[in-house]
Amino acid sequence: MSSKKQANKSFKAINVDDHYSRLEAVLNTVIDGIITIDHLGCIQSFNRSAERIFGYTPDEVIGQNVKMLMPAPYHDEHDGYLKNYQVTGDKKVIGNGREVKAQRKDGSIFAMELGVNEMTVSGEKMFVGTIRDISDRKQAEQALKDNQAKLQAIVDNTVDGLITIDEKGLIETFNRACERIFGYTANQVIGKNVKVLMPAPYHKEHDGYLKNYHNTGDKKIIGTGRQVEGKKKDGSIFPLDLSVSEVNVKGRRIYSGIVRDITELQETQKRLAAVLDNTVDGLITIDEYGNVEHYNKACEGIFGYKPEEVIGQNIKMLMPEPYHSEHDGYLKNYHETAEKKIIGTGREVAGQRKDGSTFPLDLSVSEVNVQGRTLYSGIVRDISARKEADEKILQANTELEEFSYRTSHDLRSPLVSAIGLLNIVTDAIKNDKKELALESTEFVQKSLSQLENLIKDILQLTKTKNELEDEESICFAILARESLGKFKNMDNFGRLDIQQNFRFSGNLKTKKSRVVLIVENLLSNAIKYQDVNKNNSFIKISSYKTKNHIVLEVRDNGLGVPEAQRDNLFKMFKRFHPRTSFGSGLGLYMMKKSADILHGNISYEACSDGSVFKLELPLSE
Amino acid sequence: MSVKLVMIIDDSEMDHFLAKYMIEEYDPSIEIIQAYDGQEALEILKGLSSQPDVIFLDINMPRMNGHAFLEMYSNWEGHSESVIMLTSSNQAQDKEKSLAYQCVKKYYVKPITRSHLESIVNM
Repeated sequence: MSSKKQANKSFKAINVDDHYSRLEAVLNTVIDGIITIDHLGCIQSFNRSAERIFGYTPDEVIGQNVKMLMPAPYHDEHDGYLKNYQVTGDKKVIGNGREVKAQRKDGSIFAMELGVNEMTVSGEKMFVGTIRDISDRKQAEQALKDNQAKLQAIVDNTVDGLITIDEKGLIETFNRACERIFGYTANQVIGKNVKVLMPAPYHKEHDGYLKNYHNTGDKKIIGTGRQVEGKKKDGSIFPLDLSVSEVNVKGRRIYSGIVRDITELQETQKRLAAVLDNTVDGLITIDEYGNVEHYNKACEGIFGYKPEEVIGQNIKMLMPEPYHSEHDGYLKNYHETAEKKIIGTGREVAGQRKDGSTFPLDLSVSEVNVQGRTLYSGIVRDISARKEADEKILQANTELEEFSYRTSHDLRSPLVSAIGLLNIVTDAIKNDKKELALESTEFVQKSLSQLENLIKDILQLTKTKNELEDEESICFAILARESLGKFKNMDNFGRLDIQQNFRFSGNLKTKKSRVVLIVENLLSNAIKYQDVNKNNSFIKISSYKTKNHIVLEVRDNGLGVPEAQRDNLFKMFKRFHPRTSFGSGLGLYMMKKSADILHGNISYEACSDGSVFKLELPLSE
Repeated sequence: MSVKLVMIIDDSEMDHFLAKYMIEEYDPSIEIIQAYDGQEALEILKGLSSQPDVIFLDINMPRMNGHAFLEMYSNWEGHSESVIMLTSSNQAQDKEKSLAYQCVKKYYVKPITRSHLESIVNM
């Protein structure tokens, strides 16, 4: 403005004035700041953009040294620059643009681009400076740089390897994770074909894949992930998870691959699968419709089905009725009501094996959500053995209780009788009743021999339970003959027709004392319980072979066993014939226990006229 | 009470002998019927015109034991009101189970004695 005033003074012509006004208007609308200084550095003009850039009004700066717009050290050095130029004519900034620092009125410092030109006005040397505030651009540039550094840091520090290749397969990027995964440094592989990272056959085929894709556009791996193999620098091959995507950068096609070494993951998976397969418990996973997704090795042992027979099938195939028909309903009900019946708890249910047999199993079910899908996992344990053992324990317990009750009773009973009878004997002797004394004494003897028999049986029974014995050869014919020899003095032995037919006459290796016990009891029972009202009483002893067993059969036409008592036949302390029997009630029970020890079986068959007892012993291999 | 007819239900021959002797010693005029298990006793009782004044009942017997006998007999109309348990069992469970029947008046552990008989007659 002051230059305008000066001009007005110099020319005083309206048209000239008009020309300056127009020039001034142009100067003031230029975006760049324009400052002119004289050869001493005093500011001569200062346009509107300069005002905006520096925050000074023209009045504040015109006539002042331009160094006021500069921060240290330029502030102090600028006068020197000017002087130096005038003396040496050595241009430093003049005619060139350069980036310098400037200082605003508020003291803040900023970057600006400065262009300086020299001109001569009315013989006086002047300098025109064009100024552009580039702090915004600088900031943007910095941000861009920061961003790039950040990106690089991210790329370098991702756990996953990142590789980019060009259309020909040459590696352009190979981040730090890749270096770690493959064992190469980036420098060693950048510019090389990516196939160096692949083992055969991919190594040979990769160029073909790329070509094929370029020709057909047929995406195989692009856009998806898959498990492939990688080759390390040391030649070792390892599993990796690869996902490839295609990127277009300035019309150039590049492919970026993200790789993850899954060696450990696979190991873990293998280990986990091995653990699952080798658990004693069966593990089954089903989807929400009941279809089997996983079926471990233990399940094979439990159900008898192979995984391929079960996977994909409905779980109900492993259930007997009514669960078989109801299971779909259970699932549906749970989906609809969310009411948990078995989920989260364990329970005893029935399972069905491939062969159709059913068995008790302990089942615990839990619900799992995997990637938005509901799965149910069940752990199953075959508890047939446990149940059987439970039953055996219960039975043993019952027997033990019965045993203690009956021994307390049956041991006491004959003793008590004997005491009472001896009182009669005493009275009888006192009163000189010889016959009564004799009769009573006979009963005392009977009572005591009954006691002796009972004690003998109890001892035998304990032996049956606890004794270990080696196996030896036995022959039924010889055992029968020996037993019958022992019993020939029993009442009514002589009236029996005893027939023997040993079709199996070979030797059998087994625990002899058990077989002797059974044979003796069978024969003595047959003798004891003969029907004296029949005049053709017989005992038929025979042996024969079936597929897996040798059978000893004792058939008689004696008293038989009352139908109501047959279920209790082999239980302890059971007597079935009033008046006839004075046994301990342990005979058949001992036979049963002995047969169990021999892994055989003893059974009773009712026949129209008497009894048939069969002892089956397994054939030795 | 006046005791004229007595039944002994026991599977032991010795105990029959013993009880019979004791009763006859106590009062030879008493008539004695013998049964060797519950089932035989029921069959005999069914045929009697009047039920015994006293029934001595054992517990452990083949075929039908004392408990099963009571279960059946106590439901009979006009059954004997004086069943005396005479058993070698001194188990509480046997005693409680038998005495739960109204007709069972006493529970004696064998052997039978003269004082048992006296207290029965004096009931």
